[in-house]
Amino acid sequence: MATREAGKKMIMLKSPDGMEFEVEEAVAMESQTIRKMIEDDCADTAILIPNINSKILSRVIEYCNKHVPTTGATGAAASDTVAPAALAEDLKIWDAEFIKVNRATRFNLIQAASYLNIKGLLDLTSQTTIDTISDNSLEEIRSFLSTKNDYLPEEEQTIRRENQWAFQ
Amino acid sequence: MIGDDRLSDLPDDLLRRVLHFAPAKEAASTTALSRRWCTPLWRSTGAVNLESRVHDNDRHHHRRNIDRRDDEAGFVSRREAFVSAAMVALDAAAADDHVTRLTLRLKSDSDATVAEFLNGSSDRRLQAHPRQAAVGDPPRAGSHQQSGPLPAEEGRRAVVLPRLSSLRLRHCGQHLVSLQSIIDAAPVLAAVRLESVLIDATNHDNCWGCGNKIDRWAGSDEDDDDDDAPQSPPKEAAPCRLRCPAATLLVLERCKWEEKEHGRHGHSYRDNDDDKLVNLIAAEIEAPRLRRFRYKGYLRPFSFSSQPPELEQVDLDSFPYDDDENHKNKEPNRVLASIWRLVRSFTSAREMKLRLNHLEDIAVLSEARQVELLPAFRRLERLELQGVHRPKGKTASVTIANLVRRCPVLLDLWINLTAEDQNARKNYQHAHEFFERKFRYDRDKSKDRLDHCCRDSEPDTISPEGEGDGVNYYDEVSEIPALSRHSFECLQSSLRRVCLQFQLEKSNCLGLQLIKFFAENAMVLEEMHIDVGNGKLWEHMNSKIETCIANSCKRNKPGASRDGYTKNEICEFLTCIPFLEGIHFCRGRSHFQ
Repeated sequence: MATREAGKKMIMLKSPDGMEFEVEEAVAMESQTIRKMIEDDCADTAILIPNINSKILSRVIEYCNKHVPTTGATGAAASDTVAPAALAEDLKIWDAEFIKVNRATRFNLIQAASYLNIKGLLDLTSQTTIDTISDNSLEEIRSFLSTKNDYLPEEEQTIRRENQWAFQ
Repeated sequence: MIGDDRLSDLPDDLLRRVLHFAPAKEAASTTALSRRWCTPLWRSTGAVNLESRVHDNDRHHHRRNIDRRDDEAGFVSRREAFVSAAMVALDAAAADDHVTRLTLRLKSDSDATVAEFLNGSSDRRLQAHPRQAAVGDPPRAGSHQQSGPLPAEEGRRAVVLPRLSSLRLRHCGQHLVSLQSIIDAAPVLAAVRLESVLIDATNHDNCWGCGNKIDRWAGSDEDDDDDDAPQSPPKEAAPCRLRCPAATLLVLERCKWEEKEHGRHGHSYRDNDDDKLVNLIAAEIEAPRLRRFRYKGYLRPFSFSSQPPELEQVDLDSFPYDDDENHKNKEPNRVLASIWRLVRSFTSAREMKLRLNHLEDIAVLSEARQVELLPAFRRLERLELQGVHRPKGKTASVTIANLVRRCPVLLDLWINLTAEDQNARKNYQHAHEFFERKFRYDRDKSKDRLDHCCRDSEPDTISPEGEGDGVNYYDEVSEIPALSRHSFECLQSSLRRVCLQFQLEKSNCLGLQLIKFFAENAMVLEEMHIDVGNGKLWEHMNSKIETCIANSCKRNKPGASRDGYTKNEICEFLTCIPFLEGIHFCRGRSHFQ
């Protein structure tokens, strides 16, 4: 339900497990998917976000809240009291803290960021995933990801031969 | 989640998105993980990230037991392996139309090793046509990272990069000629970021704008005899030129320009004085489409060959080439002239941020010299000025006046006087504790004074004006001659917001003088932000101001802030100012609004 509070337009987001989140329109519009819905006027009532449970959705909203540009629409002078460079630095630190989650949550966040089309969050989660597995051998990555090697030994040999440069 | 491989569960396009950030080798090696991964997703991630570790230990420090030649061979073979891997990855990228990211990251403990590693690998051809090359990432803890000049080395071969839009070089050495050639090879290169790049500007036919060793500045340093009359023009090298015809963003951060001459490195900053002068390389930048410019580093004779007409934002953080006081005293005008000459190139900017130490250094005192040196900023709407000033100095306000006076449409003015002095930093911790104690005492004292004022508030005489500046009459904030003598166009019609940050350390400090000045003279001021960074409030305000607060104050007013003053009281004083709508007083991180 779109309501008004202190002059800001609010948007209601619903998770499949029945939780409702009221967020500022500007925050919700960090998601390109939701932005499009709003711009297409499909957002009069609550927006149901499929496949994203309330726990993940609340984290996504937390991220959007932090990353919504503080300039412009909000009109508060507070936006200008922090130098932009300092702000970017703060955001980086905040991001690093934000992404300290377990693997399952991180994968859920990747999917949520992808569905909601939030580029910054997708980059953050992807980069973090890569950081956790890089510098490991293939075996280590397999065990870390609990990936079952379903290749036949000769199949794996072929693959390794074809991409020999990557296994040196 | 044991046994549950969530990454493999992701759809292909999402995996590509994740692998976008993976080093090429690792991305490719994922094909051997399981059948799920057998599609070569790494070929279409839109990125090529080349990454390698260069072990310095192998190279230089094994002195015992191990045959050096083995090291040498190992080093070379690793390099070969890296290059051939890079070639495969780049070939794959060349087949993919959507490559938007090319990164090269080398980790090493030693610059020399990396340079050697890269120089050996520069003979190959690069065929990728990426839209963006982001070279380098913030260093990870524990390893020194070095990102190197692969693209530029390739540039020598005139590889055309028709879609390269962003170039970022970090922590690497680069010859100006090869840097220039990569920029030339990328006709739509809009963002150029050079961070901690060692730019080798050794004399070379291609990189010297106009021959060797001409004194470009001689013509503009005049010889009158006023306060800031220049000494003989400093001996400076002819400028080297950097052309970025398509750039809208240019960042030069902590870059070191060096010149190898007479068979030796010319980059040692702490040589004897004569060397310093010779080695300060002048740079001329040609960037007609520039919108944003950021420079951080030593103040050097820097200039733009033509003023970028569409410039929006300038961020200038420079420190004198040598902060040794003696040296500066010998050549005060060098700093002065250099900075103004540089700032002159930005007269079309809308936003400007200047960080200078010390503010006094660029004060232009005489009218004649002002006319000559100071440009008018016809479009400047926001000015941010940051820098320490010497406590005894009187000319910091002149600097402020110099600038503000030439900004007729200024809307927003930030003045931060708290920037840390580099020399003072080491004493900071020690001083901090002392000040903590002192401020607590002062705060209590302030409160008493206010109470006192409330009891008998007789309007007092105001402080001596004009020439009283610089004399510390306790409790009195004097006028600022440099400011109050002149009329400022922006004060009459445009200046709406002033933010002042300063340490309230003594009575009559510059910060308080500025509050007073803007409060009284900015006719359309709507907001004033004041951040004094400690708990010592208004004790040293001019008695007139104090009375003003006192008159509107009832003791023990409910809601009084910790410091004994409510926001209302402060506002009360400042609402005497026409049109003032809000005041934001912040102390540390807390805002009273």
